[in-house]
Amino acid sequence: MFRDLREFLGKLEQEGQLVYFHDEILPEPDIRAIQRGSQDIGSTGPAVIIDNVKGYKGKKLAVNVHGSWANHAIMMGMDKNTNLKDQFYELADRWDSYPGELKWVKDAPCQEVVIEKDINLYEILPLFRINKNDAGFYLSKASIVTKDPEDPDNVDKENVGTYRVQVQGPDTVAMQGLAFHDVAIHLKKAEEKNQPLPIAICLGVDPMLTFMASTPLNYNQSEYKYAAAINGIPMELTKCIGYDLDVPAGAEIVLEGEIIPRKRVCEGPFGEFPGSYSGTRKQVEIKIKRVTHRKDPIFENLYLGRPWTEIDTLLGLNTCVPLYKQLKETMPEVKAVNALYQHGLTVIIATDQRFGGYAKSVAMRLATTPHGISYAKNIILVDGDVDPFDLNQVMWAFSTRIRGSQDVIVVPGTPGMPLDPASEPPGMGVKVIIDATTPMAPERVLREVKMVEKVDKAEYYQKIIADLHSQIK
Amino acid sequence: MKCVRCLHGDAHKVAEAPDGSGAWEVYLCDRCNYSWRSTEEEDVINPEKRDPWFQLDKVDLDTLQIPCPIPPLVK
Repeated sequence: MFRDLREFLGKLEQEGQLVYFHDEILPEPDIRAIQRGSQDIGSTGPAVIIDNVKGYKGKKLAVNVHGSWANHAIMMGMDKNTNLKDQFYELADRWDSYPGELKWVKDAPCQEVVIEKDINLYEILPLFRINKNDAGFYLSKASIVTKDPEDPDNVDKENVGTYRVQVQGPDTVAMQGLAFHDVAIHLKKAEEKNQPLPIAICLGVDPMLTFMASTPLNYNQSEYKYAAAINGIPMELTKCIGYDLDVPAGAEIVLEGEIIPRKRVCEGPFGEFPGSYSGTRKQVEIKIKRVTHRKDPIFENLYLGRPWTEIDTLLGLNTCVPLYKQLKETMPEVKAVNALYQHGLTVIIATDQRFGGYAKSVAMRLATTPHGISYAKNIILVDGDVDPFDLNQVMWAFSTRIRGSQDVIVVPGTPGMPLDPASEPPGMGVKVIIDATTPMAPERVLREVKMVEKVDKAEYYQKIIADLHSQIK
Repeated sequence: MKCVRCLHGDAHKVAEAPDGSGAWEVYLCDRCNYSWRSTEEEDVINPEKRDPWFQLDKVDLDTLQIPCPIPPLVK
C-alpha cells in the first residue's frame, strides 16, 4: 500500500484527511490540546501536521495519523467510508497472505543525515508532554527493533514492538517493556550474560508497520513480513549503521542505541491506554549512540488518554483479527471478534453454537489465547447473526438473552493486565464471562421464542440510500 | 537546582530552544528523571501548585516496582 509515512500522508491529503496547522503554538499545552481536539472529531477526523512550534521553528510534527476509522480504511487501501465490520473482514482475509516479502536497500532515506556527536534529543525532536502529569516527554508511537541475542540471524524472531519511551537526558531514554512482551525475552537473554542489547527506535514509519508493531503476534512471527503481506508490497529495510539490526528504509528518524544491562531507572507515570496514569516504576535505560534521519524529518507521535483516542483505533482491529484467527482454528462457528476496547480488556465474540453451552467454551478458549490470558477480562458472547461491532445490537442481545443466574460467570484469581486500574495487585485479575447467546439443546429452553428474521437486501438498499443522501449534502 | 517533583537538588538544564529564539529551557532531575520546560503550566512546574498525588518527595525510589525483573547471571 504505502512505502513510508510520507506516501501515506500524501494519500490522506488527497482524500481530504490531512490538515496543516501553521499558527505559532507552545509545545505545552497546545500540542496536547490539538491532538485531543482532532481526536474528538470522531470516526472521520483528519491527521494534523504542525509546523510552527515555538522554539522548534522549522521542525514538523504529525499527529492523529491513525486517529479515525476513515484514516484506518485509507491505510488499508479502502474507501474512507468503509464500515468497521468490512474493514475487519478485509484485514482477516489479508492476514492469511503472511509472510510478505522483505527487501534490503542501500543508501536508505532514513540515513540521509547522521548525528553521532553531541546528541541532544530535546533539540533534535520537537518533544512535548503528552498528558499533564506524565513524568516527561515521551515517544508514544515508536517502532522498536531488537534481535534474539541467541539467534540473531533469524529475522522472524527480530521483534518490532511499540513500547513507551521517556526521554531522560540528551542521549538517554527509558523504556517500558513488560515481562510478557517479546522485547523482554531478548532482554532476559542479554542480561543473563551481562551484555548490552542493541536497539533501534524508529519514528515515523509506514502506517501498516506501526499497526503491526502494536499487534500481539507470536514470538517467531515477523512484524515486517506481516506488514508486507497486508500492504501487498515488499517491506524495504536497511541495516543500522552501528548494529546488526534491520530498520525500515523509509523511516523518518531512527535512534540507534543499547539497553544497558542489569540496570533499572525511575520512569513514569505516564497517561496510559486504559485512560489512567501508570505508576512510577523502575524500567530499562537505553543509551543512544547515533541518530539518523531523513532530510526535513517528520516527527510522528500519538495522543493517548481518556478513551477514545488514537491508540484505541491503532490497537483496534489488529487486536481483533489475531484473536479471531486463533479461535477460528478450532472453533469455526466463530463469526467475528470485537476486541476494540482498551486493547481487548473487553471482548465481544459473535458465534454460532454447535450444541448447548458451546458459547461458554468459546469464552474459555479466548481466555487461554496468548493475548487473552492477561487482557481479556470481560468476555461477552452474542449469537453469530449479531454484529459485535454494532453496540446497539450487542445491547439488544444483552437485554433479551442473558439469564443472570446462569449466563454470568466470574473466575477470580486469573492473570490480569498490570496497567488496568482494576488489576489488583497489578498483574492479577478476574475473568467475567457474559453469555448473551440464545440457548440451544440439550440446554433446557424454558420458552420457545423466535427472533424476528433479518431483512433481505437491506444492506443493498442501505448503500443506495446513503449515496442518495450524500448527493444532497 | 531543585526538582519540582522529588524536591531534591539534582536538577539541571539539559536543553534550550534549538532555533536560537530563547523561547524556553528544559530541565531534568538526575534522581527521579522528571523533566520539564520553563514555559509549562504552573500546576506542572511549580511544586506548590502541583497535584500532591504525583509528587515523589516522600517516596523511597529504591522500593519502586520493577515490571521487567533482572534475571540471575548465567555463566
